[in-house]
Amino acid sequence: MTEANKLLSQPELAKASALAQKALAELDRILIGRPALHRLVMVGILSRGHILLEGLPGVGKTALIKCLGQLLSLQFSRVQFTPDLMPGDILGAHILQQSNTGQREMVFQPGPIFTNILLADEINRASPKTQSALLEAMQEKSVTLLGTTRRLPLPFFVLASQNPIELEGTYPLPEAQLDRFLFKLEVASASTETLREIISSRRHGEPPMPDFSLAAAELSELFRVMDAIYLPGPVADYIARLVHATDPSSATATAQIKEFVQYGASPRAAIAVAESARGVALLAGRPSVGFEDVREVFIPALNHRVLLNYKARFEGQTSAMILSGLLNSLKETDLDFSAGVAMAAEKK
Amino acid sequence: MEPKPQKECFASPELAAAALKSRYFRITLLLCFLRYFTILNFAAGACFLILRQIGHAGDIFSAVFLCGLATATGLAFAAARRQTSEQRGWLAAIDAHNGSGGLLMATEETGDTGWRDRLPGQVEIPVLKPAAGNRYMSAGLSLLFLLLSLTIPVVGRDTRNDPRIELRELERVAAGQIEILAEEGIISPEEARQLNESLERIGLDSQRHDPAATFEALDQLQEKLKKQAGASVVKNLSEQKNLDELAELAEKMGEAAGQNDDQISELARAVSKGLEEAAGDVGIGSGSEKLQRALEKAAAGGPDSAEAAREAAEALQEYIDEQQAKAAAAAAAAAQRLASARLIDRKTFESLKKAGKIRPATEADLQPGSQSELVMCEGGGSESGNGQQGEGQGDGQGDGVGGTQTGGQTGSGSENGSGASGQAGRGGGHAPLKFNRKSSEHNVEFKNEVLPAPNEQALEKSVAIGMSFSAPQTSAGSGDDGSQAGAAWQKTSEGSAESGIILPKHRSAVKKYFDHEQ
Repeated sequence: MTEANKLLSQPELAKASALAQKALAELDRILIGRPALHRLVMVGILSRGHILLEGLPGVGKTALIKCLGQLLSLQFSRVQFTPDLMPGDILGAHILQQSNTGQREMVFQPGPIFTNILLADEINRASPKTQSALLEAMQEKSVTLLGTTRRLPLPFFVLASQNPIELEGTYPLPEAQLDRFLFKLEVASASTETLREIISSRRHGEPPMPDFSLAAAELSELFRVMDAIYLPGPVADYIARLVHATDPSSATATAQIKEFVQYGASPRAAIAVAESARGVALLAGRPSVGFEDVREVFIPALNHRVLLNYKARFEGQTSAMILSGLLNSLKETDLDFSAGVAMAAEKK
Repeated sequence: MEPKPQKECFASPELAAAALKSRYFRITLLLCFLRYFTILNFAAGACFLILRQIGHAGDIFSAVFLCGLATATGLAFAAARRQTSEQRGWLAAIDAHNGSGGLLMATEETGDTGWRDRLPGQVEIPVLKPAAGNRYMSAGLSLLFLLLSLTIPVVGRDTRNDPRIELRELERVAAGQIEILAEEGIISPEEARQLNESLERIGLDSQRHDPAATFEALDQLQEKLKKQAGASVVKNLSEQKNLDELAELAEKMGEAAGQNDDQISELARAVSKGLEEAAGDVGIGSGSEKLQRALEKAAAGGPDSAEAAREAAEALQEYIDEQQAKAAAAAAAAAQRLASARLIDRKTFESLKKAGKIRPATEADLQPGSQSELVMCEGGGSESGNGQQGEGQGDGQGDGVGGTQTGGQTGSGSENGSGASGQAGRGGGHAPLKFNRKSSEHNVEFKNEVLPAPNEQALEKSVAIGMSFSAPQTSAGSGDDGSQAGAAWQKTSEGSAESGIILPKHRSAVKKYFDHEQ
C-alpha cells in the first residue's frame, strides 16, 4: 500500500469535515431557507471551482456571495458588470507614473480580479470582450497583459450571478466561458416560510454578520484533505460513463439525449464532477467518493455544459431534465449490460 | 403482485461479492443455455425433418440430440463462466446497493483497514433477475418445432404402410428359409450361396423400381425353396416306406419258420435285396452282422434254415425299430424346422398328414404364443397366432398348418403347377376394422399387366382366396385343379380376417357389409 493510495485517517478527516460542516451551518444561519443551495456552494468552494448563480433579481444571489466572502476571510472584490465595462477595468492596466526621481514609467495597476473571491455581478451584462477577459483567469489562475503573465492569489474563485429574464442588453455567456464554471446553480424564489422568517428577523433585509470565519490556513487544510479524498475505480468509471453518455453520438446515450442534445459535456465536466463529488464526501466525513456523491453533483456540474438543440427548447426540455433521465437510466455498475442480467432498482 | 424478493445479508463484503457473483453466474448460465438450447432445437428439428424425409431415420438421432444437448450445456457453462470472469463490478454493486459511499471499494482497492469499523456490519446484495426478454418464448417455439419434427416422421414411418419395409421383411424371411435349408442339408452350401445372391439381387433391384416385380420375384424364390423342402420331406417319407416294406418282409420271415427251405431262402434273399435297396436309396445301413449272418444262413437252406430265419426275423425287426425311431426323430425335427420357416406347402402337408407326422392339436397348442408348429386343427377348432398386422382368432373350418398360418405372414400355396399361389394365410380370425389410417397400398404403383382370359367355368365354382402381389400363374397346370387347390387352401384359412386398412371411399360399403353379417 503506497502513501498515495492510503486513505485519510479518521481523526484528520473528522476535523476537516467538522470545519466544513461548521462553515456550512453558519451559511445556513445567515441566509435562510436554501440549505441545498448552500451545500452545493460549499462543495464548489471546497472544490476550488467557480460558481455561476442564476436567478431572478432579489432572490439573494449577491447576498449569498457576499456572505461567502465574509465567511472565508479572504480578499473579496466586487465588479458590477455593465455593457461598457472594459477588460482593463477587471484585469488592471498599465499607467504612466512619475517617480520621485522624476522618471516616468508604465506601472501595472492590478484590477479587481487580483483577489481571492471575485463577485462578478450580472456577468451577462458585460460585452463578450470583457467576459472573455475572465477566461484565462478562471482556468489558469493568471492574467497576461502586454506579454507579462501575473499569477492571481490563491485560492481564486469567481462567483458570478446573472439574471435570466432581462435578455435585452445582455450578452449570453459563451460556451467556453460557461464551461469554466464548476456549477451553475439556479437560485429559486424563497418559500412562504422563508419569506416570513426573513421579514420578521431581518430589518431592511440585511443579513447578520457571520460569527465564524474560515481562516486561510484552515481553508488550506480543507483543500489538502479534499485532495486526499479517494476516488475508487468503479466510481471514476461511473463518472466517465455518465459524461460520455451526454454525447448524442455515444452508444450509451439515452433516447432523450440523442433527440435533444446538440453537444455533450467536455472532459472538463468529468473533472468537475469528480472534484465536486470529493467535496460532498468531505462534507459527509468519508475518505472516499461514492456513487451517491456523484449523483448529487452531476446535474449542477453539467446542466450548463450540455448544449441543447432547438427541438428541446420547443418541447420545453431543460438540461436538468435530460440529465436526470440519464442518471435514472445508467446504472452504477455495468453488470446489467451483459447477458441480459438486470439488477433490481430497489436499494437499501 | 410479484412477491418481494428475499433479501440476503452477509457478514463481509467479500462474502457478499462472492454470493452476487455466483448468482450472476447462475442467471447467465440460464440465459446462455436458453440461447444455445433454442439453436439446438431448431437445428435438430430441421435435421430430423430432412433426414427422415429421405429415409435415413433412426434412433441414432436421439443420441445425436442428446450429444447436442450436452454440448449446448457445456457451451452455456463456458460462456457464463467467461462473462462472469469478465465482470469486475461486484463490490461496486454491493457498495452502491448498500449506500456505503465508496468505502467498500476504497478499502478493497487500497487495502487500508483503518476504516474497517466504519464498514457496514451486514451487507445486502442487490437482487438480480434474468432479463430474458423473448428467450423463453423462442426456446418454447424451438422445442415445439423439435417435437413436431419428431412426431410427423413417426407417423410416416409406420411400417405397416411402407411397402419397402414389407419387402425387407420378405427378404429377411427368405434369407432365413435359405439358411434353414442349408442347415438341414437340403441344399448344398453352393446352392445356398447362389440363392442368397439371388435374394440380394432382388433386394437391389427393388430400389426405385416397381415393387410388384420384386414381390413376384420373391414369390418365385420362395416357391423354389418350398419345392426343395418338399423334396426333402418326400425323401424322408420314402425312407419310411422302405422300412415299412422291410417290416412286412420281417413279418413274413417270422411266419415262414415252419415252411420249407426254398421258401425261407427266397424270403431271405428278398430281405437282403430290400436292405441293399434301402441302403442305396436313402442311406439306411445294411443291417447288423448278426442279421447278415442269419440271412446268409437262411438263404443257404438246410436243416437250420428255419431257426436262422426266425433269428433273422428278430434281428431285422430290431433293426427296423431302431431305424424307424431314428428316422421318425429326424423327420419330426426337420419338419418342425421347415414348418417354422414356412417351407411346408400344401402338397408336403398332405404327405406328412398321410404319413401320420402331424398330430392333432391340443388345447396347449392352440393357446396364443404356443410354439407348436406341426399340429392339425380339426373341424370346429380354432387357429391362433400372433400376426404382423394384429392378433385374431376365428373359427377354422378345415385343417390348418399352424406354422403357415401364424399372424398374417405371407403364405403361398400351390397345387402341383397350378396357379393357386396367393396369400390365403394372412391373419386369422376376427380383426377390427380400421378406417383412420392410410391404405397399406398407399404409394404402391402396380404394374399394368394384361390379365389372361378368365376361365368362366372355373370362376363359377371359384372362391376368393386372398390377394397376391403377383399375377396369377396360368401357364402350367389345369385351371380346374388350380381353382380347386386354391379353394382347398382357402378352406384352411376360412375365418381369417385381413386387418389391413380400408380405403375411405369404401368405408361405408365395407362397414355396411360387416354390420349386416353381424
